[in-house]
Amino acid sequence: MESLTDFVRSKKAKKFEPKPYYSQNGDALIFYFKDEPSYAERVDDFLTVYKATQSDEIVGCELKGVRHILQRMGNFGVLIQSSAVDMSLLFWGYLGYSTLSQHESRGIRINELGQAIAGSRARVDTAELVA
Amino acid sequence: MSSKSGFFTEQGLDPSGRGARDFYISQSRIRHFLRYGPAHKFFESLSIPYVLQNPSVIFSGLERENFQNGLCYAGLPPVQYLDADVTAPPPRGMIFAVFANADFHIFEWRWEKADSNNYGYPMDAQTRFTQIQWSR
Repeated sequence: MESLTDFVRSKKAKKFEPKPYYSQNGDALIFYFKDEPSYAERVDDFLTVYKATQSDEIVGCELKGVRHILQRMGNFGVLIQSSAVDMSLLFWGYLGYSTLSQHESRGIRINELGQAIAGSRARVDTAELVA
Repeated sequence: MSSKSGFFTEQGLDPSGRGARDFYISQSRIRHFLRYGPAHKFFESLSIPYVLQNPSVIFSGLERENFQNGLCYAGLPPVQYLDADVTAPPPRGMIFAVFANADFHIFEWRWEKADSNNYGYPMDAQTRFTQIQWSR
């Protein structure tokens, strides 16, 4: 049985490609749109941002409670019927839970984060979200 | 140590602080960061075993729906992994946090700002977690 350490140590990093990962165990989407060493800063129950260690610039985010967000969007008539959904749509769903004051108090420029996500054109397989 | 198909198994301190128990890390998760990056996230997973075995503090109860029994292990690894065999001192003023659900499946690992008043603790712990399960 190969250990995590043995596996990781035997590999070489590949070229960075911004792509979200949905963790079923954590019901969270992890998305990095820049390849820079970073640390995490929790914004609220649904959002954590990743900031570059050197510059504090936002380089990614963790969107938590994705199933809950989708369910609430469905309650408002937003139904996703395609095989993949824009990450920016899920982020928009998150905004229904947040307030500008929450972001401002933590120095988070939420519009810039939204633009970075939209600009990445990242998509998430809906099959992963409902599995 | 038990094995589970599709997961790496790592041993860590039981949340009670007595004895060891198994934790599981999705192989698809690790392979995702290998395939797409960022590389630092992939190589930072090398710090997971250290923090599971040598936490400064273990919190239970994440302030998130359905994660009331989730766990957070926080600690200070001796190095920061930049590559498989390239390390640097840990980032100043940071701790490494590993998050697991109630079934001991790890779903997140990362550096976070440390609480300057509580050595080895993450910032805002009092509002993020229900209770301290164990501390050094």
